[in-house]
Amino acid sequence: MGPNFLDNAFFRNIYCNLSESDDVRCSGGGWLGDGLLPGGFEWLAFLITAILMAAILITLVLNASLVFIWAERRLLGRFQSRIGPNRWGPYGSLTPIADAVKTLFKEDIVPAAADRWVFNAAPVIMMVPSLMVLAVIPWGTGTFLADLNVGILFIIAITSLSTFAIVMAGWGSQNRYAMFGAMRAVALLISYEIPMAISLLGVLMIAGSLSLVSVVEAQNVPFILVQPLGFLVFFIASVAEINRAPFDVAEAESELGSGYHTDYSGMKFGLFINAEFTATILSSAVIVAVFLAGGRGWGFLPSQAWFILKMVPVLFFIVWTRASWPRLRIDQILSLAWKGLIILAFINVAVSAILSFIWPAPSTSELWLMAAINFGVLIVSVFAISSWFGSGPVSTPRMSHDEALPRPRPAGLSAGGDS
Amino acid sequence: MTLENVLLVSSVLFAIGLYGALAKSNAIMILMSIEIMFNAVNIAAIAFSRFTVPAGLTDTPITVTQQAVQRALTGQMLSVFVITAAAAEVALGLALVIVVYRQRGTVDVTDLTEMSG
Amino acid sequence: MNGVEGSSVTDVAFWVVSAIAIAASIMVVTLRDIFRAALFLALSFLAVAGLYILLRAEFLAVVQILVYVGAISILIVFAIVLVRDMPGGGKDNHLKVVAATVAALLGALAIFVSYNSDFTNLDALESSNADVAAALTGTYDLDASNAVGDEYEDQIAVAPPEGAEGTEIGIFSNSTGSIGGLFIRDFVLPFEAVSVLLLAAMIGALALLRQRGEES
Repeated sequence: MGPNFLDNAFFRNIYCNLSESDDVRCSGGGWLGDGLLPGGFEWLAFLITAILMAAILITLVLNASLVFIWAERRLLGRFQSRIGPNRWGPYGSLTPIADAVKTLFKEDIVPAAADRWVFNAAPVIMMVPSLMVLAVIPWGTGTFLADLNVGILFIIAITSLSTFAIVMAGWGSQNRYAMFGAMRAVALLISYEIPMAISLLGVLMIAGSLSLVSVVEAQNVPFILVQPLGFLVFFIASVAEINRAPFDVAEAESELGSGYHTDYSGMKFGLFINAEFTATILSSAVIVAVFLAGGRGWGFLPSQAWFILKMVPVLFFIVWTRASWPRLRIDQILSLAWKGLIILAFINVAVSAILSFIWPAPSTSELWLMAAINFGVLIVSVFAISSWFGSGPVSTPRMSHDEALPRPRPAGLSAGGDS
Repeated sequence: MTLENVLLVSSVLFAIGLYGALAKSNAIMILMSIEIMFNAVNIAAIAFSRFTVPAGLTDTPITVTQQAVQRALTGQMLSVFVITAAAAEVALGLALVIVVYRQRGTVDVTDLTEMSG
Repeated sequence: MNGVEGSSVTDVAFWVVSAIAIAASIMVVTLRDIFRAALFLALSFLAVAGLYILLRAEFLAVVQILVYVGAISILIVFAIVLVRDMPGGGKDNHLKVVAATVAALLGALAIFVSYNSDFTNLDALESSNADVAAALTGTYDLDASNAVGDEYEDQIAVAPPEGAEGTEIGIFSNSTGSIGGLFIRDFVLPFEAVSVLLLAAMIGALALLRQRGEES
């Protein structure tokens, strides 16, 4: 099932110090002597070590999401020709801490008719899928929590768990409009899971494995060049899956209040927002690992630094998308998924299948050839699909001029005037 | 984790699902119990594929062919098809439940007795 | 988990996950509130997915999460939301005692049969035959020299010679590839039939729920 966890030096030290495992790599038991726990408790040592490693990684990602909150607000300010937060700390860098303190001090209102257990559990369950994905991402060579050999499919499956938290939030509020908002958000999420999964099929066919470490190793040419159509579909689908603009009908101040987190206040609301930012960071980490050859680079920096360096432009692009496009309506979002992205993803799968049948184990030059062919396919298919199924720049309901808003008729003018 | 223990878990889950399917009066609850039974069957199929000798490896002398390696996972194939059929069945079952609710105003199966007696 | 396979870690994990699955299923069939029952159903699906991972079926575990937890549970919850205002919730009908008896008898019968049957054990075979061990747990070579034909099914897997690198495609360590191979070789007809089944289910569900104007 991939490399053994005991190959990781940090894990091995903790595990061998805790347990009396007679595994050959634990020779001597580490610097604490013979192991702290008695004989039959290897499972406890394993559990403690695993929890410790997971806790370290989760803490790092949550701190990164704080930094990203600040960076996004400054960037949005610059995009909108204003300064952005600059009061707390140099360049406003302590703003997320101020936000957190403000959110903690807000009153935690629970509606009287709400289903208490479900209402309280929903924000927690919203955080969980966002954090589980970080277990399979290769943050550098040899730096991962688990090298599942179904890694890509694991990511898709876990991101589909966040629909549950939204439904629980909508139901827990016992509020008709929250439930409507929740159902719209769930419809959006399940519609965009399909293009997300199918666009990763092209990557699977070229890399030959679902394991993310193998995908990174197969990228002698980064897959953003070899699979441009797949990258486009996956990027749009990821931005939609994390409910960010321009797809944020669920959380925008639209006609249904604030959607499924209308009734939440205080830190529970803060958990929803933090879950969204953490999901953004992890989506960009997935994009870096799968499409940008995460961790691979020239040798003067360690691979973990390359990974984080590559995440920065992806996050910038996601914030740029938020600043640039207006919010789409829910019917526009759903028709984009079902009439646009799925067809493009299927075209991508078909072309990638043919290409990887011709060149089963592509070398670097064959990858460049595939990239050229795929770029041509990208341009042709995007123009074809958007002209056949698209409905113009902004689809507004078409009304003829006479059926538009009635013109006010001032009293006293001649009745024979035209309309 | 032996085969008998996994089959014990599978049998207990099946019995729980069977009790729910027979003793509940809400159509959606019956559908949920049927899903539990499907899960129990899947566990049994996968346990058999994991713990028993596949059919290509039983003759003497033992030759391990590529086909035997793949056919050892026939239990998992059965589970894939069961999951797919269960998904289709629950979708249609819930559509029927909603149609019945629209016509009769209830999903209590003890009240839907027009065809009995 | 190569380092701890067969040790106490998997045993403890197996009993914990099974206990969660069984407890969640009991909560599903005994709760009055249907929404809570649906949530516990999703929990039991997650526990069963964990059980699949312990049984070396990783692909099936993620498919279980993707299909059962991510789609079927949501579908059940939507149906519960659409048919709400039911006073009875999940009450039992008059067959409660009979059902409990029948279920208990069937469960006991299944347990009795499984404990008293003589299954050929793969682990026992693995420990006695090096080629089988190589094919099961990791690296083996496809020895084309003594293949009886050109088809894939005639290539014989042997344990790689000392020091050589075999191909790591053991029976359980690449279940995705093996399942894919089975789909297009041995099970191609059920595969196509299942796709027609799904299409028919989609069309049927849409046809059942089309609004006809005057209905609610």
